[in-house]
Amino acid sequence: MFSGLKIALVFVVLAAAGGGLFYVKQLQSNLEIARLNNAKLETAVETSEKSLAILKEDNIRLNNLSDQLTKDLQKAEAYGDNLRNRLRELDLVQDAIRDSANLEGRMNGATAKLWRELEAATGGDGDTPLPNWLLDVPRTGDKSSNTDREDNSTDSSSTKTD
Amino acid sequence: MEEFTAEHGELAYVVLSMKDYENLAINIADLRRYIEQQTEIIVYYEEAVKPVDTDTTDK
Repeated sequence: MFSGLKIALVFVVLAAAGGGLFYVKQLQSNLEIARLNNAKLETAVETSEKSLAILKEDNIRLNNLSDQLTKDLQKAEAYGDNLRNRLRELDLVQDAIRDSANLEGRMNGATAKLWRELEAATGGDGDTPLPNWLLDVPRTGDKSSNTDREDNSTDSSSTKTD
Repeated sequence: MEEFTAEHGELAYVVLSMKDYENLAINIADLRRYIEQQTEIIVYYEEAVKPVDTDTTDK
């Protein structure tokens, strides 16, 4: 009777030990899986942080570029604004009556300068020499040569080309 | 005038009123503005799509 009980007790103890061993092995296996998952998650977090840093840098760079573009677009409007102001200030009809040769020189000089600036704006050198007839036209208004009129013109004088 | 005709041949006059001259000048100025702005926009996009050196973020 007691020997049967002892045998049963031994089986119970062995079963408990086996169950415990299985449980520990299962825990170790789960722990290993958790470690691997943790490593993957750390890599994913690192990648995400790198991507975020790149996005932030891009955002700053594009903001700076956008600001610069806005400034450049406004700068491109300066010529037209200056021209409109100059034309508002001047009375070209009176200028023509007063000294037509002077006005002619200013107009020709301004036109030549504008074409050269357009040439530069479209990829050219912008240093096409002035035509002889423009350089040599005598002036009655003042004594300076016609070359100077380019900087003294009706419509291009106030242009800033920097 | 002699030099002009020597260079370009026959001399012809084109007359326009001062108001028309002003309009012409303003229209050319608009063309110039448009060209310059388009150039700036192209430069902007070229800079924007230029690949960035990402080595600095790894350090």
